[in-house]
Order: sequence, then C-alpha cells, then structure tokens
Amino acid sequence: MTRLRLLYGKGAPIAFLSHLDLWRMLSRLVRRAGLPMVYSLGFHPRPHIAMGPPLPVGAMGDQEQCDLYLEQMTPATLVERLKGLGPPGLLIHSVREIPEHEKALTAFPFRSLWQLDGEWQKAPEADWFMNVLARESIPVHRHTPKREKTFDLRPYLLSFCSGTDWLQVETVSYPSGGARLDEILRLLKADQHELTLRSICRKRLQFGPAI
Amino acid sequence: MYLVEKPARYVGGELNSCHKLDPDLFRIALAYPDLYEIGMSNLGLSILYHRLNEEPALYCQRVYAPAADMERLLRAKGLSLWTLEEHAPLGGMDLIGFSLQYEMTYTQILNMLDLGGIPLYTQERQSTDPVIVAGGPGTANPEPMAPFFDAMLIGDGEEAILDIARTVKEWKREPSRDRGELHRSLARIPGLYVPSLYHVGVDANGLLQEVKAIGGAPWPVISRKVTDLDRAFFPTKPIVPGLEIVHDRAQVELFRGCLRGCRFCQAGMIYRPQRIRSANTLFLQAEAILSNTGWEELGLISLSTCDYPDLSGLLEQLQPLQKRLRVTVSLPSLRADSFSVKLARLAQGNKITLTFAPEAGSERLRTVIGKDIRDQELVEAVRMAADAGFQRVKLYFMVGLPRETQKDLEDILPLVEKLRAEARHARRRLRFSTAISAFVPKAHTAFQWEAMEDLERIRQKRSFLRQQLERIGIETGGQREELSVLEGVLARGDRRLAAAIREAWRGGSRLDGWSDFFSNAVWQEAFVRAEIDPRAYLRAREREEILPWSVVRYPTGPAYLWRERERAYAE
Repeated sequence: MTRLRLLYGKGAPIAFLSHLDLWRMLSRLVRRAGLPMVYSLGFHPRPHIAMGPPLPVGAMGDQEQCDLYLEQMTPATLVERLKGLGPPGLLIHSVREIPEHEKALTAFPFRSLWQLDGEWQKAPEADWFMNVLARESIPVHRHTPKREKTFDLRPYLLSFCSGTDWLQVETVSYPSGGARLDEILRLLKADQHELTLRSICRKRLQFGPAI
Repeated sequence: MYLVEKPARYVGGELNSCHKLDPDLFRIALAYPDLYEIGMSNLGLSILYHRLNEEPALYCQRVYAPAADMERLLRAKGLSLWTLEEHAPLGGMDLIGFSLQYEMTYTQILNMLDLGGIPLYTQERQSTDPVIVAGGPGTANPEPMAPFFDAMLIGDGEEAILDIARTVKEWKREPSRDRGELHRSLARIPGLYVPSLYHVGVDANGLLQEVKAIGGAPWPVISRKVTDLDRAFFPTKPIVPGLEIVHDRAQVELFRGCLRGCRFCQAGMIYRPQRIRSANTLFLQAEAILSNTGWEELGLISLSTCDYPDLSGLLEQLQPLQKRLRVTVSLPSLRADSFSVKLARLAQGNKITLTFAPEAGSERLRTVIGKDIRDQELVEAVRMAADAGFQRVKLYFMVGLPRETQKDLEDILPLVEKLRAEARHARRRLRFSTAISAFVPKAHTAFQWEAMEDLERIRQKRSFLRQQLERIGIETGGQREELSVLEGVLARGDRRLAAAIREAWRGGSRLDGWSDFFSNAVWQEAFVRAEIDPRAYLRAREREEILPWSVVRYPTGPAYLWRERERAYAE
C-alpha cells in the first residue's frame, strides 16, 4: 500500500462545500481518474481518503492536505493522472509519499493563518488585540446539540494583525479542539469591531509534532 | 454568501457545468421552482440543459428556488435572483423555461419571477422582458398557471425546446417585437400551447362554457413525442454537484412511458407510448457517464423498472462495469412482486428499504384501479425481501379511491398483519411502515371525471387507518389532508385559479411541498380574496362537460379514458 499526501488549494466555488462534500468530491475525482485506490469493503465501496483539518463552509484554503491510500503509485504518476480532472476551484500543488503507519493528519496539532477580508464597522486599534492577548482566559458559549458549555478561547489564539479592510489571525488547534472563526468575529463584534466578510482564506496550515 | 445556509446552492461552477464567454449569445435559464438539491436531481432538466448548450449560439443556465434565508437576503439588499452560471439577474435572460413537476411548487414560480424583477402576468410584460415558458408533467392541466406563461409545452422537451429557442431568438431580432406576433409564431410549434390564443368562456353558474382557439391556434394541442430514444440526445457528461442532492447518482433512462395502465396514474397515461432504449445504448451511456462524473451509484430510471424487456440481461451486462468502477446499481420504481425483489436483490447495494405500493387493501379495489397485484404476490415479495436481508418495507396506500367501501379500508390492516407475519415466519426482522395519502383524481386519467373526496371524509379515513395500524405498532405517514385537497384543486382547476395562486404567493406561500412550510390558512385566505370556492373544483364532472384541460391531447384521448373508466365500474 502507498500513502500519498496531497497538498492542494481549495478556492471558489468549491470553497462553499462542507468538509463532507469535499471528501465526496475528492472520492469522485479519484474514481474519474481510475486510480488503483484502496477501497473499503461492503456494498458501498469507498476509496480510502483521509482528510486533514476541516475548513469552515465558504473558506478558501491555500495549503490544505489530505492522504490518499493507493495500491501502488509514485507521487509523480499521481500528479500526472489527476491533471485536468479536478473540479473548478481545486488546485493540486504537490504530492509526496508518507510512511504508511504514520499517524493521521488529524492526530497532530496545527497552526492556521487566517486572512479575513471585508469591511470594518470600526477597525480595531493594536491595543485591542494586545488586550485580548493579555487576558488569561476568554470564555465563550458553545452550543452543542446536547448542551451548552463554556469554552476558553485564549489558549488557541496566537497573534493578530489588521488593516483597513482585513484581519489576520493565527490560531493553534489540537486534536481535542480549537477556536472557531465565528467565535473570534463575535469577540470583535462585541466591542463594535464588526467585520462584514468578503472572503476567508487559510493562507497557511502547519502541523506540529504529534501529541 | 456567508449569511446563508448552504451557499453552494447559489454559486454554480460545478464540474461539467457549461460556461460561455460571448456576451451576444442567446441566453436561456432553466428554472426549477424548488431547492437546488431537488432541482439538480431532475433528469429531464439535465437533458435540456446539455442539449441546449450543445448549440454554440445558445447559452443555457440554471436557476433554483431560493430558500427562505436567501429570499430574505435578496429582498433586504434589493438584489435580483441570479443564474448559477453567470450570476446574471434573471430578468436579463432572453428566455426562461420553468419545470412544472408538482402543483405545490406553483407559488414558488411566481416568487422566482418576482425576485427576478419580471412581471408575473404575460400581458404585463414588455418587449424587453424575458419570454417565459413552461414544460413538464404539470402542463397536463396548463390552465391554473396559464396567465403567467407565454407558452406551455405539452409532452417531451428535448426537441421542442430547440424550436422554442429558435423562434424566440428570431423574434428578438425583429425591430417591432410585438408579443402577439411572438405568440402566433410559438403556436405553430407542435406541442406548444399558447394561453393568450385561447378564449375561455364561463356561464352564469361558473361552469366552463367554451375554450376556443383564436386566430388559427391549434385545437387540441397534441403532445410532443420523441420517437426513437436510441437516437435521442442524452447527456453523458452531466453536472456533478458538490452539495449532496436528493438523487446523487448517475442516471440512465431505460424507457419512457408505462403500459401498466393503472387508472389513477397520470404519468402512466401522459408519457405513452412506451419507448425503449436498447441495452447496448444504455451500457455505453452508463459507462461514459460514470467515467465522466465519478459517481458511485447508477440509477436505472423509468416509471416501472422491472418492465424493461430484458432487465436481467442488462444487469448482467452492467456487472463487469459495476465491478471495475466499484459502483452500485439502484432500481427505483419497482413493482410489488417477487420478480422485482429478485432483481433488487441482484442489483441493489443498499438492501435497506423496499417500497411497495399496493395502493388499496383489497384485491377487488386494486382491480378497479387497474393495479393488478394479488395478495399472494405481495406475501411472496415480502418473504423474498426478508430472505434477501432487507430491513424495512414501506407500503403506500390511498384513501378516497373511486368505488372504495368501508370494507376496503378495513382490509388494509389484515393485509399488513399478514405481510408482517410472513416476515416473522421467515425469522427476519423486517420493519414495516405505511404511508396513507388521499387519492387525487388527475387530468388525463380514467378517473379524471371522478369527484375528489372532501377534507373531512379523508381525515376520518386516514385517522381510522392510523389508529388501527398504530395500535399494532406500525408507523404511519403520508401527505397531510389539506395538502392533498389543495393539490386536487390545483390539478383540476381552470384559469380563474391563477388569481388565487397569486394571492397565496402574496400571502407568503412558498415551498408548500415541504410540509413544514405549508400553511393552509394562507391558501384559504387567498381563495377568499380571489373570490373562488375551491371545493367547486373537486366535484365530479359530466362526460359532456368541457374540462379545463380538454385543449391538451395525449395519445390516450378522452374516448379511451372513458372506456377505461367504464371498465373500472364493471370490474
């Protein structure tokens, strides 16, 4: 078995697909390419594709990753075979081989650099960000279908940067969870710094050592 | 786009969607008055979309009904509903074709026109407004929606749509652009009904007195038929949606038309004669579609799949393909007999639910309605389904059928019990559920002259059955009574109903087919405003009476239908 890691970009219009939709789209891509994928058993054979960390619906991603499990194939052949078959918005940057038994992408902590473009109601000053980062905890409410809980955002926020019509946020996430963009935007909104979004993009996705 | 649920419904750009750059192309929008997930599952629309886009001078685009959140956003921002391909406002199209699949989507058509900034009534439109046409099974009775359309296509669309596009395109080049002139040209296209060219007269009692063709328009309008399915266009590179849709699979059409002759079934009448696609063509189409899309499932589509002449041969031929591409084959529209179950077992991957439609509880009533299935066949089908490892059986029944007696209703419970006992006997866990809906006498069926039962009686019958079935632990579902009655009114109505449909839309009626959105009060209010008594449309009709839909003619004409009705009463 070969495990190949795809480094790809998710742009419009597929940026508007959910993570599950994206998985389905990739599985149809490998079917169109007729790749010798490893398939699941049963009546609905599914190609083995292990996805990386999800993007929110509507967000683009410049450096997303996923793993394809194939019977045998070199990275160069895979690039060749996928050429011209992807849906509009999918950009394949590179492919490399990964040891078969290495942990899944979702088992690693990762840093995301988000670029949010839009219109400020009132752009925040640098002080506002300093104050946020200086806080010991930032409790927010999270609704789950079963219950409501308080979640501390602070450990997941690394840095902020903003301009007249944009905001950059760097976050860290762990397999156990992370900050959500809408929570960060709500935090800004609470202090009259509402950002009406034009686009969201994860510019960088970096994995740390597994925990 | 960050403010609405499932934005992928509105952005387009899916794999295999068509994009053209020339700003001078003739622009057509195919409009489906329901959500993206429903509209994208419609095979007919997919055929028309790709057929039109094969023409270099035409640019066919798509538009679906916006969900409530999107509609709010469009109205709040003063934006027009747009097409998926160009994100162009609907009002800027040259031609818009609406698909009439179901009566309860009619208000949504008005909503989409309004959101596109297009006047609702044909007579209010200017020469710069798009030409609005309709097609699909809903045109079997075109009258309730007639005032909103320049033309309505009766029958198959894949050839006629090109004639329509050509005619409108030529008209647009004329300097005068007189709409009356356009209507006269459109009326010359076979299968096209142009409402403005027909005069409808009503007598003092509110009965239809005459429906008269004006200025040489055809009478009746004979339905358009594609004769050779093997030669007919079929898209082998259909759009693959990113969002999961209702029928998210490759589809091939085995045949059009059904010869079963169920007397209540409109599709069984209006799609005749039966036209079959050869197994060879189907195989080639399936192979091409699967490799162009990557879909994991192939649906073999028709009105009654096991009536395909050599279905087992076709399934056998598909098997190597199934294995090579690792796809499952699904057989919708199965008959409730053991042969069908055998086929389903052979082909179907997901052995979860089998749906049967006995329609009536007794063999006698089933004979009356032309659904010839013996109890014994049902029993055998259930036994085979249980043996094959299916987990659920869903049974469809109708109440309010012609010649139905209390005894027929009472026969439903023992039938369901018998089927359940059979499954227990086979020592299999098979969960049974039932759907009980009201019979709606539809245009162009043998029962078109029958009365539809009134709301109260339907309610009584359904609750009688619900109580009986739920007492023995069987789930019951089916269409709400008010919805069925309304469907009956819209299916049997005439041109005067258009005012009520408009009032219902103004009152907020939208995606009525989705029961959570349906409000009967809005409709009742609309009928009052339009000064219409909806119950009048549910009454029985005389043989000699002028029916609103008599202007439309299918190969099964009224003489044949009346004979079928007489046979139903003789059974």
